[in-house]
Amino acid sequence: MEVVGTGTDAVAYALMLADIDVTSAYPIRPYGGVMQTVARLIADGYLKAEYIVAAHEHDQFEIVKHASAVGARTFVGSSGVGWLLAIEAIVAISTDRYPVVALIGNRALDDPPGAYGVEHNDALMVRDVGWLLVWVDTAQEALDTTLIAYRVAEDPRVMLPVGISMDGAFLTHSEHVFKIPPKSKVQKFLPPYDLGNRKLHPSNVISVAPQVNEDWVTEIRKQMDEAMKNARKVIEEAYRDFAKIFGRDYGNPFVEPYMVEDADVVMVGMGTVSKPIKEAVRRLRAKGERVGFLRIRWFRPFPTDDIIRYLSGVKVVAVVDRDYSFGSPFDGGAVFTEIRSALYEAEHRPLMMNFIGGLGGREITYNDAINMFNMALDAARKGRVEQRVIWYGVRE
Amino acid sequence: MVSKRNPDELLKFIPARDSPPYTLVVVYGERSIGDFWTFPDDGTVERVLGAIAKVMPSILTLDDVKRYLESLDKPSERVNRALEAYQSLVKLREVRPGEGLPYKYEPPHLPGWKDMMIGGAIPGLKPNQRNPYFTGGTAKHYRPVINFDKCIKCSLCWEYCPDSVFDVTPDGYFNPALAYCKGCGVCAEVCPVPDTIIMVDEMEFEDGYGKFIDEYRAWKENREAYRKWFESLLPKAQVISVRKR
Ligand code: SF4
Ligand code: SF4
Repeated sequence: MEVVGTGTDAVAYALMLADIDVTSAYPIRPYGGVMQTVARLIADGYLKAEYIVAAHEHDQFEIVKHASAVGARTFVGSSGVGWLLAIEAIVAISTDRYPVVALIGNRALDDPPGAYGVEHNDALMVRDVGWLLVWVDTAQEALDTTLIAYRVAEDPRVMLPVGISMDGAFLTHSEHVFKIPPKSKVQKFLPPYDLGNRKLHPSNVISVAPQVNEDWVTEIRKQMDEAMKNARKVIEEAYRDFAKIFGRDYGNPFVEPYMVEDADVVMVGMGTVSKPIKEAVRRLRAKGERVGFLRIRWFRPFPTDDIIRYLSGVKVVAVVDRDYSFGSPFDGGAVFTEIRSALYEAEHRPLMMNFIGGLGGREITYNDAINMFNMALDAARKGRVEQRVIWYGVRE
Repeated sequence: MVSKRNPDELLKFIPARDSPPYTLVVVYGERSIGDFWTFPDDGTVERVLGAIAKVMPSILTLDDVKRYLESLDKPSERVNRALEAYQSLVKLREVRPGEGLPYKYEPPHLPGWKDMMIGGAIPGLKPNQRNPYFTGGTAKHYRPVINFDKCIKCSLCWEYCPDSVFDVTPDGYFNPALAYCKGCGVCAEVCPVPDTIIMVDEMEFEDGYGKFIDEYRAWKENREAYRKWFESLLPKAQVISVRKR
């Protein structure tokens, strides 16, 4: 069935198909659309699930943690500082190893009401604490990725939560045409949630989340490390099965390469910035410029092998960060810093540039992308980068 | 150590060590678990400082102790406690290797990350099962003594004991495996029948670590003797809230 809806609608339909058991809601822009659509799906009888309105985000994430512990498939989400208000519960979900799936409607981090617009620092705050993180750029991908997220999170080899990042406004609130697959196919793709011997139930007496100190924490982290590493393989399997069952093949699950073969300059970004950059690639290619784009989907686990495969032979890599990492090794963005680190061991290390752009929801147009490409092409011609980090469009 | 007993008596309860000889210093006073977060302010720290000034002035002189304590709140109270210890019976006793309660400390075996349940979850214990490494060592101050004649088999002691100390007997009584008991008194607190679980100073017993008496078996073997023994302990029992009720 083909429908028109927003990015958050698409996630809500995926929750209906995944037949979630419990969701907890607390309103905040721009994630909030998903809770409204889920509420409507429940009210209209399309989804049978407990819909719990929380007092604030901390409760909201605690609720799904506990529901997940007793064997319920759960959904939760937030944005910006709301997401961070829940941080205690967020880290507890990953260290307790519950496969909660969350939507992060990416929003800038400011003293609320602050900025409503997109920035990726909210989701990136949890990049080091055992959450899998994925960025989507269309409503269809949002729906599909939500189904894939449950499958990966609940795999016994992983059992870690997944955060699905969606650019605030640009995707959460824009209308797209997308396909809703039949439930029968989803059932073939997504096995029921099974916590096995960790399910909290009177017939399975266990203690969870005990006090752990120096005797146990290293081992618990090591288990998480292993699970995160396993996730790479599990993600691959999930996308392969997804293509087989639904007939939609995303190719490489971790990154989306766009005209990168033979490219001298490749721009890298996450989320909806793909749209203007792809348009710029097409226009520059028409003029004979060898440019390409690489969109990172999965940021955790980080696609190191794919980064090396697609970027190590290139002359200039230009990373667009819709985030920042103040005081980081090159005073650049988080994605830039990670890619730079990934390429350290590559046989051929490209020149690297970093554009900090699109903060607080400021639009990046295809003209902006062409400007960025031209700067990078210039560096490619000269064989050196004059300014490593560029705050694109910052008012002087 | 803070105690009213003399060093020879105390050594019966102190685990023997292989390490070089050491000096046991006994400061006269009510024993306590001072500086533990439950009783942070019972004067133990001050008394110990006073005792150190007495026996090892090269480390800390009485003036040092005074100067330090006077910098805190309630200085005169604190200094008096330190002086008490300094002036009263500080007893010394050289302890040779191997002297003391025969007791071998076994460090607990901690599982590797592959053997643990994920997320640090812990499988529940079945009745009469317990973690062999969660023994109480020689640390407990009081032990529960059960008057099986009065027990109504309500199971509360068993359920509330934070360390799963109780074994369920075939006839439905609850028998403490004393090696695992931490002496917290919760069982005595929750027992609904007055004077059925009493908490008695561990130093009233000389059965020693690792060969604690089996209270239930003792009662089964000779009820009359057990009853007499229990009654002899009753006056020495700690007063706990349930007995006041
Ligand atoms: S004193 Fe505490 S640890 Fe010992 S048996 Fe009673 S409840 Fe258990
Ligand atoms: S709590 Fe008291 S009465 Fe109840 S079973 Fe234990 S000893 Fe018996």
